Amino acid sequence: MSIRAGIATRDKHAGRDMTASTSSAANSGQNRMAAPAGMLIDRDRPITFRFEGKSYQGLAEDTIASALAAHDVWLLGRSFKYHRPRGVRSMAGFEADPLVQLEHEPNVAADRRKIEPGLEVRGQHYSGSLENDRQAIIARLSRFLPVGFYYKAFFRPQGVWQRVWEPIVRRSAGLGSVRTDSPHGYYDKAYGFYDVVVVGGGPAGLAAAAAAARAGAEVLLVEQERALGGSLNYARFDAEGVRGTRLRAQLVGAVEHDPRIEIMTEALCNAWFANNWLPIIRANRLYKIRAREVILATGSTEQPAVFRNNDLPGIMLSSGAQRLLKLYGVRPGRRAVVLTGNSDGYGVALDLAEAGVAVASVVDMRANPAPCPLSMAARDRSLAIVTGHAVYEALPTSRNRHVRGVALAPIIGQGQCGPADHRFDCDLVCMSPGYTPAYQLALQAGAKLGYDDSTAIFSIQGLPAHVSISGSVNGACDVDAAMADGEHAGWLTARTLGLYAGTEPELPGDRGERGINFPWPMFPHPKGKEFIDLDEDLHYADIVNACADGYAELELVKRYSTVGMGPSQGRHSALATARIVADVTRRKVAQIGVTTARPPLAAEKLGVLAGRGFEPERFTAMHHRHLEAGATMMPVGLWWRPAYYGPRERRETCVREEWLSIRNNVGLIDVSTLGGIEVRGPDAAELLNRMYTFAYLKQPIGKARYLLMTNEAGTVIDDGVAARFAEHHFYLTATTGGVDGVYRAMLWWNAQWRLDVDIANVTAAYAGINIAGPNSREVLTGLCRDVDLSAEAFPAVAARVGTVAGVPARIIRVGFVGELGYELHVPASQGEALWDALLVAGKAHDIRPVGIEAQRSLRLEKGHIIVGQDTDAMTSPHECNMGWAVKLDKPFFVGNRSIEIRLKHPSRRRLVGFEIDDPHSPVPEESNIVLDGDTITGQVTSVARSPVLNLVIGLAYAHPRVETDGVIHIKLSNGRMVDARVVDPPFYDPQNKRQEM
Amino acid sequence: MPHQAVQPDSYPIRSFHYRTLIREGARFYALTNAALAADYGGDPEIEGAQARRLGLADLSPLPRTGYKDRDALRWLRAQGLTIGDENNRAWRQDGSHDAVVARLAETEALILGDTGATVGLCARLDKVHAAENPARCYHVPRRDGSAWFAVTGEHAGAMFAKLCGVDLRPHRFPTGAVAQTSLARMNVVVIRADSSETPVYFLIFDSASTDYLWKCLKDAMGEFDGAAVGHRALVAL
Repeated sequence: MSIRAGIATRDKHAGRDMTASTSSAANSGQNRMAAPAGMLIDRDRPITFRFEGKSYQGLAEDTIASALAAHDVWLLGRSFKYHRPRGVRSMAGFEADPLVQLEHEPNVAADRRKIEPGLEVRGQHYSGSLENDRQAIIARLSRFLPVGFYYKAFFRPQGVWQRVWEPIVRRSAGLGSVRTDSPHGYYDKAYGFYDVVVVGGGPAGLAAAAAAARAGAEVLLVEQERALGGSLNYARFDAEGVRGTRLRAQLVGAVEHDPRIEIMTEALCNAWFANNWLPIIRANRLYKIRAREVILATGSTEQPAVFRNNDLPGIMLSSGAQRLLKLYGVRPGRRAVVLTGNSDGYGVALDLAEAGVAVASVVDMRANPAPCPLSMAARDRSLAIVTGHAVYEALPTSRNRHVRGVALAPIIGQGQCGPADHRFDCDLVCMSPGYTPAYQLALQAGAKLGYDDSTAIFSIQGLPAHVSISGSVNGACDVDAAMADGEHAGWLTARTLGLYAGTEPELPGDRGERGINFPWPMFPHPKGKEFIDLDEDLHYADIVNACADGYAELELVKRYSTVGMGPSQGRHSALATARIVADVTRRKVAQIGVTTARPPLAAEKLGVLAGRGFEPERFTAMHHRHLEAGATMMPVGLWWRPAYYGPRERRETCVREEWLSIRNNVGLIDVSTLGGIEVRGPDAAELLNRMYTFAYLKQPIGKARYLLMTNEAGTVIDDGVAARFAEHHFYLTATTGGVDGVYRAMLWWNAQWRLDVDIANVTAAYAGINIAGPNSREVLTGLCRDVDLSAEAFPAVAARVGTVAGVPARIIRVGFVGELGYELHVPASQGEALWDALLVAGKAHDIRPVGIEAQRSLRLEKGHIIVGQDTDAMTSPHECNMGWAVKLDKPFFVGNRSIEIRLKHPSRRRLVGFEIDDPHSPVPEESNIVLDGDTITGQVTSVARSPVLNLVIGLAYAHPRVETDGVIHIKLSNGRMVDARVVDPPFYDPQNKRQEM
Repeated sequence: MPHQAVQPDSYPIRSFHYRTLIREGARFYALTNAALAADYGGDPEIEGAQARRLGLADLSPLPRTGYKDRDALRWLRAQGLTIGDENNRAWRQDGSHDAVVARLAETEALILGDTGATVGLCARLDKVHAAENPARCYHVPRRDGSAWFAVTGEHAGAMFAKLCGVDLRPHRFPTGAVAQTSLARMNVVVIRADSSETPVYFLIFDSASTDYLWKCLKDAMGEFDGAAVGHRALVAL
């Protein structure tokens, strides 16, 4: 056969644009067919984009691959191991070869992504250029790269991996590149709830959805392509080639007009999870769908044939060629050979011929195929047909850029060919050897694959309740059978839901599965390169050798060879692999099966999984007053609290000034976040007695008492204050981060104790303001007329109810910061008004707001611990000098038994106070370790330089034998050592005169 | 409802996020001791149409209260409230305009005052309770501990699907239904409380997170052209 000029031209200019007038706005490529070809494209909207630095013009709704194919550009990428040229195969986004790089996104399926104006596209995985990849030389070394070679290489001599190979492998591994400066997209999620979800919008899915909806079900129909119809959009079912269009119009019309059916196209059901929870990805949204019933009408995946050089650009699945023709109006080549094992190949040949593609031959692998309408139509059209033959070898152009011809050989046995006896020149090879059901979602749901040797096709069995399959995935391969199967599935599903569905529709008799699969379309060649898995560059011998190396079980074959581990996830290799392993190990394919199918079905972006982030935040009632006062806020759990009032660069000054304002004058601290729990009822005191270490049964009304909570291990977990306002009413505070846990613990324990008590978490209901400082009483007196605030009437740790500035208030005298002070707990809606009133009333005293950094330092001067800072997950009350708050003679409190046991085993540490009075000494930091010689005996937990005492003061864990006035040795962050004198806290006002005034 | 321009911070009781409402153009009118966002300054017809399409109203200044423990429901019924036997249901109160009582559990009820704020049901209950101090019936400070939003309109169900895993579509979550669920990662009580053909959902949630949930809802509503609406548009439904 002579080589046509066009093909010779391709050899010289392989991969290059050959159109004379790409600059013409109207020209979208020399392979573009005239209207009305191309169901999806919009001929009125040309779009210019760039691939590998060159401009091309496509049409709206073109994919990158279809637009390039229109311009005779077939080289899209380089293969994973051998860097062989690769192009489209399925036009359905199923494989790695057409993955391309966009400006901000790697690994984009060129056969699925639509072109946009100005889109910049590049190939991936090459050195130099896509056309002349320097790494293609690796293919010549293939004999040194057998299956599993990486398990046997790269590690001798010792150290060679880290020094030599790892950097090389890391540089060349992976596909695509990520830019860290890419703009963020908006992703979100949404829930959905349906009676029936039908996955797949082909003939079976359409029929199933319509049948279920007719019975009254709420149906979601999910289709991953842009248009409903599935194979109806591109396959040929009849000699005239009109049946598909007619059926599509009928079925899609029924679905689109039914208000009970919601349709999602360009939506991928990416997994099946328990109880029919389905993640469906559509653009940047993840739909989290709950379905009462699921019908999987996912269709079947056409399989490739296996022969030498079956990976060349221009060799594609028949359905891929038909997609180019019917969906995008692009001729997939000029001269074609169609390799088939069933009647579908004849339909492809007819489609090609009608599109103006010269069909050199239909090569039917069957020796004596029974006539069918499609084959008869092909004969009527005088298409050349060769039977009982296979493509034994595809002939490449230079550097394997494209197919230029095929050599045929007669099939003389399973996988065996005689000498090649035909040769055809061509630039297109279409393969139709058979199909595999799209089983992935069904297997994720727990189904198993069976295999019928007589039909050479997988079947799906053992689906769980509320999941069914229909159509070709269920073995109904004939289009009429698929529709009938779908209608029956929809009817049955509706009936399962209790909906009236009418008379049971008939199940298809002849399902069309017999003869659809050629049993062995794989022809190993002495020179190899008959690819089983194109993603992983694995040939026939690799699978055979994996078994020969001892990995005879499929899961081991997979892991040893990496078959099925690429982006196609075995869609085009699982059946072939199972057949080869079965043959080599002399078992049946049914015994081999396929490897475990796990989610996700296809690649999913991390952005889709993350969705829109929800990060709750909580503001106190005075939050905006803090902002208006210039506070630097800090997060404390979900709350925002003012750290200090001023900009960051003035932090030390602000903290110091706030600190001194409390010591010398008066200040306000927002303590709203410190938890609020109401404990009410006859057993209120008993509950406290059991939950906390101290004693509460005899706590007088109108008094507050310290709360210390331990867990069952005797470890300190929270503290606070309990104010008793009535015989059966306590109001508790807790730590900001601990109150929810305290509340939960109380509910949990009381579920067992069944005390007559009500427990309510009222933290958000009350705003808390601590007014503290020597002038606090004077300021407060001006606003509080119904409570006697004098020292005699309202002594330390008393609690009263009254009104402050007209706001009903619970007033507790507490001394956390070591000065005269009152905590005012008021309804949150009036917190801001009270704050304002206090600032006005205190103006004459230069009252100021005080942040929590100053508050923490103030309490340090008094030696008060902060649970979680001065305690850790092991601290017992006695270790942190809180033994005074533990009443072991109570009948019970949570943790008492553990504390008793722990007291019998002396602790190896205790919390001590320390001072450093050298004004030039560096200040230790929290967590600096305390050393005794070379032994770590503890660490610093709190430290500050006190402007009041002119000392560095702090708390640290040290060995129990360290005595007051002794010395501890602290190792600073820079490695230097500093000595500190041990003191018994409080550092400031040890007689508590100031807070009790 | 009196209509006069008022400033929320001239009242001792303040909505938890009145500044956000002011920034969005809210105009307020006076309740007894608080200011309520009346409208957003535009044509009332347009705002009404917005509420029928998808609107978000802050009702936090309106009265509400709650009671819990084993005798709470008995005491409330003794005060004349209608409370059925089913948990997670809500009932409108006869003679109290559209005050709603939601039964959250066998031992807890949430009372939402009528949106016209005319009847004083919550104030009456709280006053009687404070005087009687009934055993095993404890007051829950819903007025301060919980905020109150209303989401209205035909797109409300679809909007909620972006935030909540419970099916809140109108035909699946009818009037009177109550869901105690998670919405944008917050604990929320959702009550369907239509007064006309337009779906209305009350949201009761932690008052300290008012700003946060307002932002989440506005973001979710954007897709459906949702917007803030005032109290006036709500009562006109």
